[in-house]
Amino acid sequence: MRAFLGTVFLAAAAVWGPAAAPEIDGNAALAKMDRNLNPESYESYRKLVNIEPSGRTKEFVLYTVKKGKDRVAALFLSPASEKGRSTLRLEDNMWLYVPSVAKPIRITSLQSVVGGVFNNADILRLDYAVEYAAERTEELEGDIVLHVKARTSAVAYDRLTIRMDKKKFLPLRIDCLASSGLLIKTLHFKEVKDFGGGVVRPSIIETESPLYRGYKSVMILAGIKAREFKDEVFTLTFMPQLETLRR
Amino acid sequence: MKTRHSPAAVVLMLSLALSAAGQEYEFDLDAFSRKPFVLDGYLEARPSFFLFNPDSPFSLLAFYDRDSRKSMGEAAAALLANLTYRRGIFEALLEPYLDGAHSPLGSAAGAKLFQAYAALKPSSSLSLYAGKKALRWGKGYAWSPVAFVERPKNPNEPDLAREGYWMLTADYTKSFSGALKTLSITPVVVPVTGSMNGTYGRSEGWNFAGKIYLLLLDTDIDLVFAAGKSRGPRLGFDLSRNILSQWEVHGEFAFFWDLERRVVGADGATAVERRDVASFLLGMRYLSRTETTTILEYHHHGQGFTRPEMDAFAAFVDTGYERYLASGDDSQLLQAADLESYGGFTPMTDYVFLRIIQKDPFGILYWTPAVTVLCNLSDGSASWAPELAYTGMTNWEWRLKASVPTGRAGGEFREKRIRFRLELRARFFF
Repeated sequence: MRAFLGTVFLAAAAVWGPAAAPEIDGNAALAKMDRNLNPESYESYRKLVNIEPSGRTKEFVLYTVKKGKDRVAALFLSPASEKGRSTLRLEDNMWLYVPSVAKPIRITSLQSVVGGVFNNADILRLDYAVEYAAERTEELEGDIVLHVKARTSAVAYDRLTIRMDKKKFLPLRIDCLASSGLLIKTLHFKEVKDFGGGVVRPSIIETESPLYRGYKSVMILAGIKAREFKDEVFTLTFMPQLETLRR
Repeated sequence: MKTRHSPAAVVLMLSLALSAAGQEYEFDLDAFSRKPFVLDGYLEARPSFFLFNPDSPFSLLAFYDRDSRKSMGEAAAALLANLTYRRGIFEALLEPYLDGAHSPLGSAAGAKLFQAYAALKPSSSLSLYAGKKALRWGKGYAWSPVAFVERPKNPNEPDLAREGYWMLTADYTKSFSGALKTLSITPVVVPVTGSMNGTYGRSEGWNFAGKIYLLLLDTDIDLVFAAGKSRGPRLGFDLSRNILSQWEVHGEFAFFWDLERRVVGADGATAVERRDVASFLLGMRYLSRTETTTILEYHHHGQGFTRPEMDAFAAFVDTGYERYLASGDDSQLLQAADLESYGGFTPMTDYVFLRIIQKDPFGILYWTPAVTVLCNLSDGSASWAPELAYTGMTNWEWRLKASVPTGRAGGEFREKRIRFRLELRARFFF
């Protein structure tokens, strides 16, 4: 009888008692942030700007296509010295195609294709939720702070600390850490824009790294559009033909 | 002029003020709209300095009838252009290559059509090509034994563009889910006539080749073959796989039936021999956390010359030179010069290639030092080539490269015509 009354009391307390602060599901927040950043399958244009300590800049323009969780390809449109280079990622496999060499070679996510703070993992990024799992979450000054860990050792950064806008589920800042805890780089997300088709997201990502003191890289996004592609677009044979996808 | 982007995209011509830096970045998408005609390529200047090895058999062949030189400067230039036309499923490419050089020995200039083809690309699964095309088969960096339809690669400059062959070819690709993710089939037809593809083989006629590519269990696998009137049949495979995310391994194996080889026989006479041989390559590429890339390859060159065969060739040149000095008869030297295989890039049987590249050393962007070592395992001689590249100026690439042979006297690299080379290469891309 006492046990029955205890159960009734707990049930009543659960229904009528004061509401506890809802716990944030880190993985759900990560997945929501992914969908806010871009559709699952899309095309986009990006400009990368490397800024040297002297203020001198070097710019790269890429056309990127992504399909589903694990297929992404990027084509360099500019400058002329890089034009026609393309990179492909199929799950954890990555390749680089250089027109003069004319055959794809396997590369790794840490490799920097253009030099500077951005590497392949930044250029051929899959959804964060595909590569990382939430370890813990916290709130800081009204924002969500997600601590996530790479799901496999093939991911470029072992851990990320993601500070996210709690209402918009958009990233504000991401610290990329090595397994030793060493800070590799910090990404600052700025200038939220409406790209159309329901995509409202930061249009500028500033990146700095203690490994490249004084240097800064900026990624400017444009033309993000949901688009479906055939699976064969994400194959080695198609790497020299990525240009034909552009409209 | 039709606008290719939607008004919304045009509005997205981003003019974005970066408050922290006070800098403004523009991203005009229309500047990158797709155009039917595209012209790109590079213009190259290549001043260089050489120290010659006057005792080399190859120096004797080159200089026997003129002043022998100990050193020389050379000015060289080249232009590689790509003119592409794309409309709907149709594509055409024209890739001419022009080069010229001037030195105290004289001037030379040449023009080649590296590629010239028309293509139909009706879907992302199928492409059809007719014309002159440069295929690149194999996973090796310095060598590719399975590159059955290609001109030889220079292991000292493996990334250089090379001339293709006239052919009919196609690519058919299918993607799957599961262990086999991709299957591609590439059939190739290479005709050899008196005026077409003369270097592919001596006999005129039709030649056939093919490649089946598989991405199976995260491993790139190619199965290749070639056969026909102009060359003996050949069969091979290659594979490439990341065994760790930063560590790639690759290999190639090729078997050649009835392979023709011109040799200097033990009796001092030249002869053509035919035999069945195998060639293979084992290699790896490793990227460290500090962005140091190491490429290491071992190549067994089945049709390569042995040490006694190379010595027989050197003796053949020596006796030819003595005959020339005594009588002015250079027929034996001309005969030796015609045996091009002896003077090829890596003419012997067993080699190791090592290349170490350090990207952005000490966090300084755009400077890339590297060193390349090419070692002949048969005699221990090697070529060391340190270099420094700079890519900090938009559309310019600068590279200073030296090359020095090491090893015992008589070793392959010690017997090359050039015993020191310093080259500055400046490329402007357009």
